Amino acid sequence: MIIDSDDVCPVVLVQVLRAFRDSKEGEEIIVKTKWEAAVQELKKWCDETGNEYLGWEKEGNRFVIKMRVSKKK
Amino acid sequence: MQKLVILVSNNNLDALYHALTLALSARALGWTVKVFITSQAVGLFIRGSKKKFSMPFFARLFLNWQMKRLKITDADKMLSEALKENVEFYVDEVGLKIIGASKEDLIEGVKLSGSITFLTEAREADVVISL
Repeated sequence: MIIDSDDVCPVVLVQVLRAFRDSKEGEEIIVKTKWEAAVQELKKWCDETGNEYLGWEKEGNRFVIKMRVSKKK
Repeated sequence: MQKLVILVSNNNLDALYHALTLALSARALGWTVKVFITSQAVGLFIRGSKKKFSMPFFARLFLNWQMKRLKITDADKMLSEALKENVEFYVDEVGLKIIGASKEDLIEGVKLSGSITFLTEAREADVVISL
């Protein structure tokens, strides 16, 4: 599932939450955003919610963050 | 489940914006979120009202321009997302009366409360923030 959004962090977080609800175990959620803080925020979100943080890379001036869904927690 | 309680008493869009930011982030973590609106900030929750800001006119104009330029999500969208994500909003009934409004004037999904509701919710919360 890809979330391509320039909304501010909390709105992206909510979009991630909705993607998480709609996803199955092991699926990937990819976020593309211009906000650098999202890299750290989504890592923390994964730590808190038990999802797996797969890392990030830069695509032009955008940050691409990858996570794997875990519904165990 | 962890619980966040926020008290917004400042009649200022920035205070509301911070509250909405924290509320949405907490919901993303699966926390229960209750936001209490008191004093003049109640006016921000009146249906169809033109929101009043305490910031000087030109400062607000500049901030609006900056927000538009950077495509920063506006408070209305954040509020609508927060309501969709079951953030609970409570408006102080006295504050509502002071600005000459009633329960029917509130935007949909916003409830009335008093200080006892706030105190009991705050007592049981893991995080309490006042803005």
